[in-house]
Amino acid sequence: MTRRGLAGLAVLAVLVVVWPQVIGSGQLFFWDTAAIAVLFATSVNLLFGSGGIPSFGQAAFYGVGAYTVAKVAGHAWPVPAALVLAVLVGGVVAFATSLITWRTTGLAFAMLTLAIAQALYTLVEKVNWLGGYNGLPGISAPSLWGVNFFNQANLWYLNAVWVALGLLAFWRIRRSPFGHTLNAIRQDPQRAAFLGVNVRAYRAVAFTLAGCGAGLAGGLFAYTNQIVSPASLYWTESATPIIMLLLGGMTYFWGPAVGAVLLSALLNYLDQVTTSYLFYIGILLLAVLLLLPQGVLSIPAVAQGLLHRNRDGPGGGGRRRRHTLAMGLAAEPGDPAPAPLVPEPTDRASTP
Amino acid sequence: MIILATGLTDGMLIFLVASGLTLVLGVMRVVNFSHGGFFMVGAYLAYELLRGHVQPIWLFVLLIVVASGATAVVGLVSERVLFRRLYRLPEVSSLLGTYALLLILEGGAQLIWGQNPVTQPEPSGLVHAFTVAGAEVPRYDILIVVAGVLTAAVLQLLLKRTEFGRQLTAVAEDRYMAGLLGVNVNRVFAATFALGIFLAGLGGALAGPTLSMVPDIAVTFILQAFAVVIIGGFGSIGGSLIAALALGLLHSFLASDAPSLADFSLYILMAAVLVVRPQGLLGSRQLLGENL
Repeated sequence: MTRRGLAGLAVLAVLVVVWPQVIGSGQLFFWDTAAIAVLFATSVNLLFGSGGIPSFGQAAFYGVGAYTVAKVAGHAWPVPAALVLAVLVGGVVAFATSLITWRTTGLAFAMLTLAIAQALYTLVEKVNWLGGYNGLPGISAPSLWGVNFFNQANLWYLNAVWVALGLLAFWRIRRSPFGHTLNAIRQDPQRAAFLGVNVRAYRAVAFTLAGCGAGLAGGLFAYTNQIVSPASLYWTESATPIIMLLLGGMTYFWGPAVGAVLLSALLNYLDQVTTSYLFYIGILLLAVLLLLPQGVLSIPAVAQGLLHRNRDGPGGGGRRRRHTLAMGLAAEPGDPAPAPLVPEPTDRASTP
Repeated sequence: MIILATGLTDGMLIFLVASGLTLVLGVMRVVNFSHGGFFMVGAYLAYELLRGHVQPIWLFVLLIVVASGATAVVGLVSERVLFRRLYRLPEVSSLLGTYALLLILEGGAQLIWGQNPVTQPEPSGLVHAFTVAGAEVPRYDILIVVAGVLTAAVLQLLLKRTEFGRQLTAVAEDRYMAGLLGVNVNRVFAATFALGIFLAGLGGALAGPTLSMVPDIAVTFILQAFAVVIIGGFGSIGGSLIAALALGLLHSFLASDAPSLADFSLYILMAAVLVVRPQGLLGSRQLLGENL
């Protein structure tokens, strides 16, 4: 990691520590959920951004993790054990799902994951042991080493630590040979297969790892929200992290995190001013897809591209523009420049 | 008997929604999440035209067709404004684009009609039930079944017997080649989309009296339609008819004999079919993405 990156992380860490004092405990619940959304969206981005795996059923693993923690919290399991179990259960369910979807890709895969997740939702809604339609209320994190998690600030630190651990894991995965191979598979599955990569197995492993991350996020959500309901598994919940990672930019590691904070804040705001936030979220999603397909983190690169075009005068500099954008994407040394998801994004981004 | 009638009716409603979805998917290769949104728009537009009152049958049918046509116009506009731009994007982005449209339609309905449920009564003459073999069957079901059968027949004729149908099949098979051979692909796309959305609107308008309308029906109905499309085979209208009827019948059969399983009928049927035929009942492997 670069020195600038490390400095940024240090600032972030200090912010996390002082945050409860800065904003007061009344607002902490919002920031808890935003932090959890950061982890969830980052886990989903292993599929979309790295592997090009369009899963529309990630809420299932999120919900499964949440229910796992809800169940064992009743038996006063210590927090780390409960969360590790949530990770494992999320991973196992995701792995089972990946076996069912083994042979499908693209749209068929998207539809199948959606259907499987929805089947789990229906199942959870019916099982009395899981509280049925009403879900499981009254979840709390038992004290650990004398730290009481009824305290909002302590709960925030608990979330921060586990979200940080999750992010670190996904950072490592993205930079590992495994992550690079996933990138190769996204860019050209056929070529990757010719080079001897077992494409289906790699996709299944990525799917399982993303399921683990979703399970952890769901587990943290159970502690934070204190009640878990089948709504966490509903299919529209699977779409939320996807909107987040698009908003932030799926080619960047921090894209989903930025998108998660932005969308959480926006939802929080819209909730206060309108009864119909869906309408505005839909408009936002369309605008991002059509005007800024690389997300808000690509704004500097796109702006740079625009500047170059203007200097070259109208009609000129098309090639240079694209070149600049590629440079902008690879701004972080050592990070392999991810291929733009959409060919020639600047063309659309710069059209008024 | 009542089981049969309910199953048939439910199946026909799902078929109306799924046929439009599978048509758009087969020809344009776009999974259209917003289809459920247009279903809802059709239901609300019919409600607006009928003013929530009991109407004579002829007026009811006429206004339902008008509402479906109006829905198709909204669809056509969105095809021009939005879908044209989505074709160029990768599959996943176009999927999310249609999801965005679903959110906009649902949110728009919330803004216009609010969250409180509204109801549309059946047309006069079809309000009550009639008795067949000791079972009470709602008369309105007849209208739905007739509409479903008519739609299936008209679609079949349209696709197999007309010039438009041949062009549509050609574009679905290979849009590039069809374009080279002089088919106006853009026009076929627009017409297909309008037809698909008309069917969605018709399904919604017809379903109106059977449910209490909330904007949320946009997301609940689309999943059944998706399942039917998967079971029947991507792009196959005959397949979706069979799948929709099978789903309706299985659901109503389970609802009477094993209620706890009824909500799973969708997944039971899907699992059973996909294990034997991954491409769906009447689907081709080409669209499944069976290659890597």
